Amino acid sequence: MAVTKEKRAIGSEELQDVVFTRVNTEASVLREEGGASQDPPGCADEATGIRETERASAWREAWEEVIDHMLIAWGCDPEQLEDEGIDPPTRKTILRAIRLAQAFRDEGRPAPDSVVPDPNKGIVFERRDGDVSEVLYLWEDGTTEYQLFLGTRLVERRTL
Amino acid sequence: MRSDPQEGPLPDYTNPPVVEVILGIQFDRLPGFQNAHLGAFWKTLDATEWPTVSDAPPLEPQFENFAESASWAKFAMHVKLTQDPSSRLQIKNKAGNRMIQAQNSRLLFNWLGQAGGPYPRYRNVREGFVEILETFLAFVGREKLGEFRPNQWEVSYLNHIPRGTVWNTRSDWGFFRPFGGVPTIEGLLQGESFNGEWHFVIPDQRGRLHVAWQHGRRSDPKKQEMIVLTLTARGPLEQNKKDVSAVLAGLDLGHATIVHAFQTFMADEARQYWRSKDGSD
Amino acid sequence: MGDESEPITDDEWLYRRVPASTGWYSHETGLKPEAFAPHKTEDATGLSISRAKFKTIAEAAKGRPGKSYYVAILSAGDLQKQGIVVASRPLLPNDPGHAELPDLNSSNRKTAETLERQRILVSLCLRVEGPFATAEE
Repeated sequence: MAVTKEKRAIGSEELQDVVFTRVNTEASVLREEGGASQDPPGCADEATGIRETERASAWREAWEEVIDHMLIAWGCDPEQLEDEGIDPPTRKTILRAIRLAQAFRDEGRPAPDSVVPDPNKGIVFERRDGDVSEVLYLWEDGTTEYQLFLGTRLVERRTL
Repeated sequence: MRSDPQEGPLPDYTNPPVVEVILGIQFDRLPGFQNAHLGAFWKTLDATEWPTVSDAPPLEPQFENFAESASWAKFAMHVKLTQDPSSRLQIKNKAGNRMIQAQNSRLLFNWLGQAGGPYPRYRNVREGFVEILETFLAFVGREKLGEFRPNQWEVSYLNHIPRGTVWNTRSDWGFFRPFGGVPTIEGLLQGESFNGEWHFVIPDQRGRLHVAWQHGRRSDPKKQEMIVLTLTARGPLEQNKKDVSAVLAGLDLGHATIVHAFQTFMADEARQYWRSKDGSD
Repeated sequence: MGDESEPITDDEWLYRRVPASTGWYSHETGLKPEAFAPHKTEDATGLSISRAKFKTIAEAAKGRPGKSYYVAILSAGDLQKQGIVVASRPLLPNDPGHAELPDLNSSNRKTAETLERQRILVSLCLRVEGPFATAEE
């Protein structure tokens, strides 16, 4: 949704120009997800801060493992994945996967629980938390999707 | 506290401050849909009734999800790996008071109050949306563009509240009850303005209501000072229900939520100003 | 052994072969939905499975020489209850027990329904046996 805006000088009372004929406010586009918990910087609880650092470090290491010992290994020898009914990922797709993994690693996101090829030259990252499964799907045609499952139900799907 | 916003009659106003209403549906991208199909869809409409088109950038997908452990979701929203060549088409009617917005993954129907004329009421706007949705679905089916699978409904009400109506100074902004006021510290700070948002969950995680408050001046020569108050309700369709009736049920829920919220958020004096009356919408 | 012309009954077991090299199954993390992902050309009429009436698990696991495979075991009745059709498609003379899931195929492999059905199949999996190595020729 987009109300087209032209921002004016900070400190003036002037309203962001609203083009009233295109109403679809972006008011909520950048809102933080309700319920997401993140400790603020400079967290006063030292124990919590230490746990957060250890957790972030563990995630980073796990991403490194994915990149170094899985994706790069596939890139060096994609034929290891070849089988009946399986087309292994191309080097191009593996490179996309490495870049995506690096981006999520650098953003401090949790590492996936699994990274596997699909039968059609694609690569699938997945992490699970109870009934919730998040997937980063690198299709062979160059598109990458984020998918969110609740149980077996696909509730969100977007192209990155 | 009302357990279901759709229970009972909805509050009604003779002269509400609403200037625009949008009803919309988000759907899974249709694999066969290209930008050319937007023009082809326009051509299925009555050319006399819908003469004006313009291009716009596509709207990003928006999902109300309640999976707190979805730790990749937030970052995934901001990752852009591919250039999306998709476009959005805006089609206006002859009177300039209705607009259809179409793109692969979204269909929206606007009532545009700035063109003049009173608010036609939700029922009327809904009828217009249904007509366009059915036309669009028929088009998608004929052209074999893929299976139409809606995933989110959305309803927006945009209100203009000019200075001199229910408020004259910032100290009058209490007409909107959630607003705590712009503080002033005598001799030190003088409250000037406020822009902000509130977010609410519709019970049973049926969606969310987002309320945005913007204060400023219009850019036209009058430079009228005003509050732009936008209420947007959005939510997923009921599980395993992906048909038109499920879409309309979502829109009705969104509408009822907005209307009740507006009624509750506004002080009595403001409601009187807009001439609140009990009754159905 | 059964008659390949018999329709599949609810009390039948079904086998789905899972290549070990893919990581689609491990004892630690279980079975992945990709084990039921259709191939973009080879599953034109549906995802291939085997009827337990016509082959042993070891026979169902046989694949490329030198490679290893697991076998996921499902109940035809469970699939039927979830609305997933199982169609007998014998490939005579060598594979009379060949069957397919026509709802998961090459052309709909990217749809939300197929992605969901893959996860439903994972949830219906009764157990996984293996790995079984296919002898070198």
